[in-house]
Amino acid sequence: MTPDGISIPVGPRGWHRDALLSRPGYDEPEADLYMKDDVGGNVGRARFQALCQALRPDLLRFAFWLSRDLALAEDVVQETMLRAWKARDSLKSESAAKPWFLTIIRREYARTFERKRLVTVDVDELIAREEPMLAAAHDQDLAELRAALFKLPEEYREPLVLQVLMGYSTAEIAAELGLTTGAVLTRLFRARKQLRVLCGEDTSMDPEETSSEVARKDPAP
Amino acid sequence: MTDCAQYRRAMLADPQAASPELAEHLAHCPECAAYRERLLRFEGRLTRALRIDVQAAHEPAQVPPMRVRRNGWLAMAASLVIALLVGTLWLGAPHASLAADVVAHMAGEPEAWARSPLPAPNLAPVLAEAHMRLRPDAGTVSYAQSCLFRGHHVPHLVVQTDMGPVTVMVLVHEPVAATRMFDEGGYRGTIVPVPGHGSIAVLVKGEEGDLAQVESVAARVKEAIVWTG
Repeated sequence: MTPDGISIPVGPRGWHRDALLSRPGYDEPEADLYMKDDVGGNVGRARFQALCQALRPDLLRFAFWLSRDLALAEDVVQETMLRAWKARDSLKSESAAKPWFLTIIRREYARTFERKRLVTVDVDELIAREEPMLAAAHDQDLAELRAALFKLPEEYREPLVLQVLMGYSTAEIAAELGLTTGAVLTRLFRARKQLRVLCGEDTSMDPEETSSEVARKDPAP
Repeated sequence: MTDCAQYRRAMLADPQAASPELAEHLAHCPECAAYRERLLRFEGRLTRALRIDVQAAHEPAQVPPMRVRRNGWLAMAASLVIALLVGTLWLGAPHASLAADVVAHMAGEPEAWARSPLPAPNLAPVLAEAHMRLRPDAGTVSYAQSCLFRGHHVPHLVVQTDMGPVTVMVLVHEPVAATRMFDEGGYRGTIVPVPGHGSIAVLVKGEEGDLAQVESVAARVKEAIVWTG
């Protein structure tokens, strides 16, 4: 670990958290916030806690598929919850909580990525490191599919996770990622197409891309 | 008019896509119907693959180191609140795995959301297998099946309520320490402890109801169960 505690991009589980929490300039919660909350009673806090508890598994899954790194995902979700708690007044309705948290996670992940200047890591290394998470009891196919997901470029993996795991519509994904719906559909199309090839599926009936889809720049794998 | 290539492109981008044009093509194209079938099977595997077991990932959270500053005691109090808040979240989290299994089970029984009342003779054996009866105030049961869940046969019921169909799974073999809420994979629900009889999971699809309503239904169903063994 370097003296500033923030420059270790990848390492054994646990380093990320230490690095993240000991980084300089961490914004401590404002004490006034909690005093007000105490005066107002514990209902808001309990409700927020229940909300976090309900959403956490999916948030952690989303962060994991985003980062392909469980330790980093845990850090990002932890930081997200702290930030969300501080900004809870901006959440107007519980039904909007999940997209609200997901947006914070994406920003937090981007911040972490930028701050740590994460190096590019070999996908096979990532797969080996996260093997316990990717393994699926009695289902080798599932483990292989997870490994294939690791190999998808982030540009394809993220919209796919938002659609399949989070139940986002194409328009919602477009809004979250700042893309057009056409671009989202192209990415989803390519994501499944690549995934099916990686998994050895019969792709003989899969369609080819249209010329307009091909015209959209393919991110480097 | 949608052709095969357009249909399959649409399916690859979103296998749940539905439009009159796509439906019309599907109705007249057995090849695309077979293609869709295979794609949906793949989609089911994809969904399960993405739903990693996060139980192993739960550890007590750590809070940021505190700096001494002017309102030091306030900061300390605030940090303590954060520690308690986040720590409690992590401690409660292992139950999410049970929730994930309940949600995964839902995907396998799409027909369960039928709305017509279930004849009493069909309901009684399912309940009897779990040594229980259900008083009428639980609501109208429209689906009952004895399902294999984590190695045990458990009653899987759908009860019609003001907020629409609600799934109830009676998990006699799954004791939980406290009520847990979850919002996973398009389902919202709660798992409620039933002292001496494991727990019950109550959930609704998507945004059909808020968690407070689900809690209320869970309490009503729990009260309506009569244990016979």
